[in-house]
This record gives sequence, structure tokens and C-alpha cells, in this order.
Amino acid sequence: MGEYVIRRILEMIPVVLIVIVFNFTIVHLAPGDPAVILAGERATAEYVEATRKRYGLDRPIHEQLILYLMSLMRGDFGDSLAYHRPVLELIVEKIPATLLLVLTSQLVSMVLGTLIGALSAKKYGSRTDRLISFTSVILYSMPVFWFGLILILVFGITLRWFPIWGITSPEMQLSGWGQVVDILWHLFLPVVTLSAAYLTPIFVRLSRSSVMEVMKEDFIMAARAKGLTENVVFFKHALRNALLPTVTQAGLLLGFVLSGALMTETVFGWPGLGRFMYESIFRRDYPTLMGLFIITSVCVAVASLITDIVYALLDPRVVYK
Amino acid sequence: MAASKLVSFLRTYKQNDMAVLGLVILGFSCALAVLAPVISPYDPFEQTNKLFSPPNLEHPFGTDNLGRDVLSRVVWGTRVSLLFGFGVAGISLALGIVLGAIPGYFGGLVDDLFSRFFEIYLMIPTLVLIILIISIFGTNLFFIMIIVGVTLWPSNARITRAQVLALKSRAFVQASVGSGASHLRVIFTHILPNGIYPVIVNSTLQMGNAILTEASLSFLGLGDVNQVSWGQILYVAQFHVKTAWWMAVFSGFAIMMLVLCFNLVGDGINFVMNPRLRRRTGDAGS
Repeated sequence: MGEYVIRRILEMIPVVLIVIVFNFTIVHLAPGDPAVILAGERATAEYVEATRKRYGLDRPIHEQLILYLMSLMRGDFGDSLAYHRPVLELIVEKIPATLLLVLTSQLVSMVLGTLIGALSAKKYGSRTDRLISFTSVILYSMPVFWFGLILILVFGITLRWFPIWGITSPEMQLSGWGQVVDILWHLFLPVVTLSAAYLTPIFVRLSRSSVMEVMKEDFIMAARAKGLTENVVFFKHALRNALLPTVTQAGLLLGFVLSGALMTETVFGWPGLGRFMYESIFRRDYPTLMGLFIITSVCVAVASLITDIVYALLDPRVVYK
Repeated sequence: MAASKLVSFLRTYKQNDMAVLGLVILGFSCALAVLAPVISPYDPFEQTNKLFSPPNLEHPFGTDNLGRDVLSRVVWGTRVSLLFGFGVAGISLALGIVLGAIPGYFGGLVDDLFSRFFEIYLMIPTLVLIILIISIFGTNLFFIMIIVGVTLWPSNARITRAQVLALKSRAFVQASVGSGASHLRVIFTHILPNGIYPVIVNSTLQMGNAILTEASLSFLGLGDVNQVSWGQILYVAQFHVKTAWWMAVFSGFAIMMLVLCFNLVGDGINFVMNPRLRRRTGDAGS
């Protein structure tokens, strides 16, 4: 097991390297002077020159790449053009909010999606099955941010049940449990958006097909032949085995989940990576956008590593190679 | 021969109501796109002094912040979305087939490299990459189309590779190799025609994805401002949700319908080509 984890961690190195080389190439292929891109279009001539020195942009290209790699290793992702603070610091501050949104939505979607998908498979071909399939393909076809806007219109602006912006209500000056409830209240619409229009339909589909596959297995026939009731066969034998492929897929979908979260945050002013990215696009803050690309890639790689380990722990049939 | 195949394809396709619905929506959207100049009641760029009029008889979808007719903009937006969807899927299909057939057919080192590449690709948040590139290089619609197409091909390549791998050891392919056919001929006349359908299904779904990506980029302010696109309408709408709900509702609905039709058609083709989906298996309903 230990060996497997180490091997997986080593496998992350090429991912990170490729991402870094991508970043480097983009800046050098971009029209204009790389130093101006990194220093900002409105920077003074001195600041542009200082930036050129800092990244060694006056040296040969291979030296530049090595310098860039080394500064990234030291945790130096450059300074944000908008905040004049280190990019890495700013990004790390935004991670918890995104994590809260992603994990909550992922959990809700996995539980709901698996159950709905299993129900659909159990009633295969029935009216219920068709209704579930059609609803999930409709939800899946919506732009996630549009669904968010509609929820804001209906539940935020018209009915006034939920707040439409941010993560807390600073004007209420809450603390302790009051603050927790306040955050959950703000979390509700973003989670519904990300789950309903993005994640749950995928899990419904995955779980439906995987339950249908499992129902064809010999051990299901054996369970039926033993005279077990259909419910026992379904819940104890079929559903439990059908869960595993769903977990694997969940691991593969992380990059996709992150994209959805970024868009959802934008609509709800959720103060995580997505909102930060949106602001950085507006402010043409390229060092921040580049940092965001590296950090989100690392996050996805780490999260997929964790998923693989959890999967290996759940399924005794998995052999570590 | 080809005609009778098409007839039998359509006969099976027709059995699936949802797939037929998808095709109807697709047909309707294509008609809208082609006939946009005739159908749209106003010029989509024409600014008037009737700002933010709610839907009424004169402007069924209302007007926007510059007094432009939202219905006309939605109708014209169909063009951009369809063009974008087909363009992106076409680029991704061409790259995916070539770059998937090579590792699948030749195997060995090339194949190992491809598999490693694909694992890495899965971990890269492509939306963030696209955003980074577009924000630095600019927001020309065709440029965005190429970038999105280039980031989508690996899934087509993976499917093509699997299909080539499965078919290359079959007798009819081996017979062709044995009789001295060139690699290109074997791949393009024997393997691909027999294994292309999952790639086509995936491409159909990618058209939907591409349209959603364009909308997302526009919503983030990275759309082509010279084009009338649904994403552009939504981008402006987000700042006026409180006052002008109609700006957001209709354009988003249009995106949903077009993406939906690609998803339904994709499922429909899959339903016809994959007999396993049509057989009732595992008697779970009893």
C-alpha cells in the first residue's frame, strides 16, 4: 500500500511539470513582451524592467524555464497585479471556500444520484425510469451558471428565501453557531445549483448503467435462486457492488467538477477560487491566472490520488501494482 | 446498399421518442440559424431608446440594456452556437481519430506514451487552461473554437484507440493486412468504418459541451464581443437580473434546448448502434 501511494505521488510530477511548461509556453507565445504580460499593461517602465530581471526574461529561453521552475519550487508564483500580494498566498486563502462548496455538492450528488439512478435501473423501461432519464438529461443540458441565475431570480429576488451573494452576512455580526447557520444558509443555493444542474445527472446516469450491469451478474441469479426477496437482492447484492464504479468515475470527474464549481461561484459571489478567477480575468491579472492554473491542477491531482486510495481501501479486489 | 442501411437506421432510431424529439429540435434550430435574417423582427445590433422593456407584443422577449430586441438576438445567436458546436466537434473529431488510431494500430511505445498523456490530460482542469489562453491571446470566435476543439480531442482519441485495438486482430482486417494493403488503407477502409460509431456519438455530445463552454467563457467576459451569441446575452444579463429577468431567461433557455437536442441525438444514435441497450437485460423490474 505504502509503495502504491508513493508511486502515485511520483506520477503527479509529470502532470505538474506539463502544466508549468504550458504556462511558460503561453506567456512566450503571447503577442507582446512577456515582461509586460507579467508586470501588467499599466505598469511603469521601471516595474517592467524589475519584472524582467526577477524572472530572468533577458536570458536565453532554457535558462528562463529553469529559473521559472525554481521560483515556483520556492513557492514564488509572482505578485498579483491587482492586490500587490504574492499570488500563492491569495490563492491559498480562497481554497477553503471552494472546497466547502465542492465537497458538499459532491456528497449530496453522490448520495442522491446513486439512489435515483438505482431506482431508475430497478424500474428499467417504466414510466418512472423514463421520467428520471429525461429530467436528468434536461438538467445536464443547462448551463450551470444559468440555472444559478434562475434560482437567484426565483428564490433570492422574488421569494427572498435565500441570500444571493457571498458566504456570510457581515451586517448581522454573528458568531459561533449563528455564523455556521448563516454560512449554510448562503451555501444552500450554490450547492443546489452545482448538484442539480451539473453533478447529480452524471451520477444518476453512472449508477443506472452500473446497477443494470450488476443485475446481469451470476451472483445476482444465485441470490435470487436462494429465494432472497427482490429487495434484499437489490439493496444488499446489486446496489453495493454497483457503487464501486461510481466511486472510480467520481475520481475521474474532478477536473470537470472544479469547472462547474468555478462557474457556480461566479454567479453567487462565493469567495473561492472561481470568484477570484473571475475578478482576475476582469483585471487582466495574468500572474494570478497562471498561478490559478497550476494550483487547480495540483488540487485535482491530489484529489484524484485520495479518491484512488479510498477506492483501494473500499474494494478488496483492487491489487496495487 | 447505403440507402437501405440508412432506412434501417432511421427505422430503429424512430422507436426512441426522445431521440426523435432531439432531431426535431435540431432541425428547428438549423432552420432558425439559416433563416435568421428573415425571421428576426429587428436588427440584433440596432439600439433603440426603449431600454429594458419587459416582454410585450412588439418585443416578445423584451429589450436589453441598450434597447436591442432580445428575440432577434436569440434568433441570431443560434447561428453562432451551431457554428461553434460543429466547428469544435469537427476539430476534435479530426484530431481524435488520427491521434487515437496511431497508438491503437501501432501499439508499443507510441501507445504507452498516449496512455500516459491521457492520464495526465484527465487531471488538467481544461476550463482554467482555456480561460488563461483566451484571456492572454484575445477573444476572436474562431480562435476560441480552435482552442476548445484542441482541448476536447483526447476523449475521441481514447475511444478511437480502443476501437482500433479491438478491431485490428479481427479476421477481415488481418486478411487485408495479409494481402498487402498499406497501413493507411487498413485503418481508413477497414477499421474506422466499422468502429467509428462511438466516436460519432461522443462528437454529438461534444457539440453540446462546446456550446456550454462558449456560453461559460462569454459569461466570464471572454466571449467575442463582435458576435451575437447566447453567452454574450447572458454575460450582460447577469448585471441586470434584478431589473430585467427576460434577458437571462430566454437566452439560457435557448442554450439548454440546443445542448439538450445534441444529447438526445447522441443517445439516439447510441441506442440504434448498440444493440445491448435495446435488449431488456437483468429482469430488475419484477
